[in-house]
Amino acid sequence: MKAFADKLFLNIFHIQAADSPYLALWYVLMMFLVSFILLNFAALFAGIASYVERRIAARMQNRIGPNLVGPQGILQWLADGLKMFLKEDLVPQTADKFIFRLAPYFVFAGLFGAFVALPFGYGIVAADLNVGIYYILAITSLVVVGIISGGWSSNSKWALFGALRSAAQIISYEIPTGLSLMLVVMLAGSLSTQSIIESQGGWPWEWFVFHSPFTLAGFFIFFISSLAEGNRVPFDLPEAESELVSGFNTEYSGLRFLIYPMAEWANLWVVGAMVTLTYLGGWQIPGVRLETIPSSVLLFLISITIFFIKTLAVVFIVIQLRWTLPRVRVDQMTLICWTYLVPIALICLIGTMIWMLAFPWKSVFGTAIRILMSTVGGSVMIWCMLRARHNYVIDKDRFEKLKGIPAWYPPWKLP
Amino acid sequence: MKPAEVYKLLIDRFGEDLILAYVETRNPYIKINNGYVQAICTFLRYNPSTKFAFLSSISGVDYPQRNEIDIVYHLFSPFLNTLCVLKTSTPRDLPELESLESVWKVANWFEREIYDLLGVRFTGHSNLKRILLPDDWEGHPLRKDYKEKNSYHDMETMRPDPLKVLREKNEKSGKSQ
Amino acid sequence: MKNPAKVNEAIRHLKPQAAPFEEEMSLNFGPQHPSTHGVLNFLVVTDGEVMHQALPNIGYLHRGIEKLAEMTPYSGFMPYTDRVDYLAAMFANQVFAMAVESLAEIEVPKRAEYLRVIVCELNRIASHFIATGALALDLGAVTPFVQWLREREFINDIMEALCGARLTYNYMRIGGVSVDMPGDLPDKILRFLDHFEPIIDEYNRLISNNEIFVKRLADVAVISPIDAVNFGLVGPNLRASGIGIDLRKTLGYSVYPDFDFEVPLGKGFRGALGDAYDRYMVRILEMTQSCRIIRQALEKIPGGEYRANVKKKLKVEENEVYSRVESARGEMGVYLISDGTDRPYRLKIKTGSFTAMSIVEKASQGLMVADLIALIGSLDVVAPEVDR
Repeated sequence: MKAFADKLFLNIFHIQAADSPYLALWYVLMMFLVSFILLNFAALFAGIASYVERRIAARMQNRIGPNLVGPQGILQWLADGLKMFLKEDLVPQTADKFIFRLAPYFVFAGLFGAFVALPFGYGIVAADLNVGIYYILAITSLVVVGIISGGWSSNSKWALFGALRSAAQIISYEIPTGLSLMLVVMLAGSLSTQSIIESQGGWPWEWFVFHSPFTLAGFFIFFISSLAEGNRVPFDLPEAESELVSGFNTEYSGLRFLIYPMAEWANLWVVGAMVTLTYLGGWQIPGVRLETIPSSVLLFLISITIFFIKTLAVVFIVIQLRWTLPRVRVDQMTLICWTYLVPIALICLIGTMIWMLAFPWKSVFGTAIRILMSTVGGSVMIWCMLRARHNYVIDKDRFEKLKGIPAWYPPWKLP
Repeated sequence: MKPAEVYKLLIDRFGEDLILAYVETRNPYIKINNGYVQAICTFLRYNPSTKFAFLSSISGVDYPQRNEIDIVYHLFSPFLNTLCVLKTSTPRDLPELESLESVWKVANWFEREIYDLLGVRFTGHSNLKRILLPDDWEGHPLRKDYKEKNSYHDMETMRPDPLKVLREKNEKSGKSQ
Repeated sequence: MKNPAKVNEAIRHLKPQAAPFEEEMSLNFGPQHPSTHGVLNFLVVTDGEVMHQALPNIGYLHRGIEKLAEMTPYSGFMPYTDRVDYLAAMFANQVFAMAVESLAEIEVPKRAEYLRVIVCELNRIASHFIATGALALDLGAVTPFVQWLREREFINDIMEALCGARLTYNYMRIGGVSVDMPGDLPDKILRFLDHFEPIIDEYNRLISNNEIFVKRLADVAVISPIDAVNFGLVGPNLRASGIGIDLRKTLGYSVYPDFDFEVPLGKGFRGALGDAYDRYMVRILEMTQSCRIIRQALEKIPGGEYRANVKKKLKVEENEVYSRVESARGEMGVYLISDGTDRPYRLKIKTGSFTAMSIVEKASQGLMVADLIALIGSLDVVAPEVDR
C-alpha cells in the first residue's frame, strides 16, 4: 500500500514522496481514502449479499423473493437499511447501557478490520501485512467480544444464552481454523496473504487444496470452521431464531441491530476470500506467469475478476448450505469440533509435513497426484451439479404438469 | 366383551353397593358409587379379562335440577375393542372425588380441567390448579348457573355491539351538522 | 407455577440429585416465541443448556367452545368445530357430525361417507405437512417447510374447489356433506396424488435422511410404550411408541373397513423406539397410506345422495354418545348429551394435543433447551386444540 501511495504521489505532484514535507499528511489522507473504499465495499457487499441471499433462498423454495423495490427488487437492501435507520434506538431499562451501546462497535471493528489484509487482485490489498493470516484471525476474534458483551449487557436470558453459545462456539472453532490454516502457511512458507496466493498457481492442480489428501481434508475443516466462526447455518446457534428468539441480538433495535446482520453478511466475503486465497489459488490466472501481470492492465482486471468469481462461488455455496441444512445442537457443535475437526486437523498437519518432504511440489509424483486429485474433484463437483439439475428438471416437469404454468422463469423475467 | 358383560363382571367383583346401575343409551354406561372410583378403575385397567388400558377422557356434566355433578369416565380397551363408560355423581355444593392420577397419569390434566371448569375437587391430586383459565378467575364457567363477571382486572368482558356504536356515532355527527 | 422457589421445591422432590436452585435459571418460554406453534407458555428450569424441567402453562387460546355449544343449535355448531383444530378442521367436523347422527339416528348416505373419507385423508396429509415441515423449521431448516407449503397449496386448491374454504372448511353437515364434489375434482385429486407421491421421496432426500436432522431427533425425548399409554398419547405419537392403535382400523368407523391400508408403526428407525425421529417418520409414512386410501375411495365412490334429509331445526331426545375419530393428531372424541331440545345439553371435546401436552412435563426432564423444541414439534401440538 505504501508503495502504491508513493507512486500515486509521484504521479500527481511529480515529487518523490520521501522529499515532500507533507508526507505524513499524504499518508493519513490515503489511509482515510482506503478505509473509505473498504468500508463502502464491505457495506455494499453486505447489503447486496442480503438481497442476493433472499433471492437465492426464494429460488430454492419456489418463491419469488423481494421484487418490488427497484428493478427486480435490487434496491431492497437500501430500503431495509433505511428502515433500520429510522427505527427508535431502544435500550432496555435494566441493560448495562454503556456496554450495550458499545458492543456493536466491537463487531463492526472486528469484521471490517479483516478487510484490510484481504487481497482483491494482483497487488491490490490495503496492507500486505507479513502476518496477514494471523492478523485476520486475531481481528475477527473481536466479533466474539462484541457478541458476548452485547448478549450479556442486554440483561435478557435469551440474549445471555446466545452470548454463551457464541463464546463456546467461536472460541472452540478458532483452533481447527488456525490448524487448518497452518497447512497453507507451511506450504507457502509465509503468513502474508499475497505470498500465499503467489506460491500457488492458476490451474486447479496448482492450488493448495489438491496438494495432497491431507490438504483436501484441511480445506473442508477450514470451510466448516469458517462457517461456525461466522455463525452461519448449520452453526447459527448463537442466534437460533426458533430456539432463542433471536439470540444475542434479541434486545437490539434500529441501527445497533443493523450492525449484527450486516457484519454477518460482510463476513460472507471474509469467509469466501479466505477460502479462496488460502486453498483455491486466489487471483492466479491460469497459464499466466506472475511476472507478466504488472505489465498489463487487462491482466490486472482478469486477476480481480478471477478472485471475485471464486469468492462469490464460495459465498454462493455458503448461502445454499444455509437454506438446506438444519441447525446442530449445542453439544453436537462442540462435539464436532473437539472430537472430529481438531484431531483430523492435527493429523492433516503432520501428514502434510511428511508429504512435503516425501513428494516436493515440483516432483513428478507430487504433480501427478495433484493432477489426479483435481480431475477427480472436478468430476465429483460436475456430477453433483448434474445430479442437482436432474432432480430439479424432474420436479419442474411435475410442477408444470400439475399446474400448467412454468415453474421457472429466467431472472430477468421474474414476476 | 360388551359393556353389559363388563357390568356383570363388576357386579360379581364389587357387588351392588358399589356398582349402582347399568343404563342403556347410545353408549351404555355403568353408574358407580362415587367413593370407589379408583378401586374400580384400577380393577378394570389391570384385570386380564378387560385390560382397559386407555383413559380416553374424563368429562363433567352439571345437573342443577338434581343438584349433582356427573363425572363420566370413558375407558377404552384395544384388547376387547370396547368402550366402557363409567358414570358417578357428586353433590354440587361440595363436589369431591378420588383422583385417578395413580391409575392413569393422563387423568392429572383431565381432572385439572374439570376442577377449572366445573369446580370438582379431586382428593389425592398432585397439582390441582386451574389449567385453562387464569389462576385468579372467579367461578366455574361450565356450571349451568355461571354468570360471567362484567369485568376482569378492569377489562370489560362484554364488547359493545359495533353496529350500534356506528349507528350512534352517525346519529351524533348528523346532529352536529 | 409462577413462583420459582416453589418450582425448585417441586424439582428437588423429583430429582434429589439435581443441582440446587442457586445454579438453576427459570426461563419463560413463550407465549410469544417463534416455535411454540401458537400461544403456549413453558416455564423452563434450566442449568445452562440442560433443562431440568419444562412446565407447560396452557389456556392462552381458550375460547370456551364447549360452553358455546350449549347455546348453539346442532346445525349451527358446525362452524365452531372448525376452530377446534384449524390445521385439520375436517376431523372435528366429522366427529361432531357423527355424534349428532348417532344420537338422532340419521342414516348417512354412502356417497357422503366416501366424500368424508376423501376430504379427511386430504386434510390429514395437509396437517402432516405442517407437522413435519414445522418440525424441520424449528430445527433451523427453512426450505423443507416451504416445500411442504407448496404441496399444501394444491390441497388447499382442491378444498377450495370443493367447498369454497381453504382452512376452516365447514364442509360437513349433519347427515352428509354440504355439497357434492364437482365433476372434475376426482381427476384433479388424482393428478395431485400422482404428483405428490414421488415428492415424499424427494422430501426424504432433502431432510429426513439428512444426517444433522437425524442426529437432532434420534434418541431425543424417548417416550416408552408404557409412558405413552399412561399419559394417554394418541394417534401418531402413540404409534411411534410402537402401539398399533389406529381408530380407523380398531373402530372401523365410517367406511374405513372398505379400504386396504397399513398403519405405520414406530420401530426405532434411527434410534430408540418412541424417539422424536420415530414420531416424525410415522407421520411421513402415514401420508403414503392416506394417498392409498384416497385412491381407493375415488375408485369405489358410489353415486346417489350426498346428504340425508335432516330437519333444519333438529331436536334430539334425551340420550348420550361418545363418538371418536382418528384425527391427524390422534383420537378426537366428542361426548354429547342431548336433552330433547335443539341444542346440546353438554358437549365435551377430547383432543389429542391436550394429552400430548401433559407428557411434556415428564419427557422434557434432562433434555437440552434445543431438544424441547424438537419434542414439542414432534408431538405436533396445536395450541387451539389444547385449549379449545
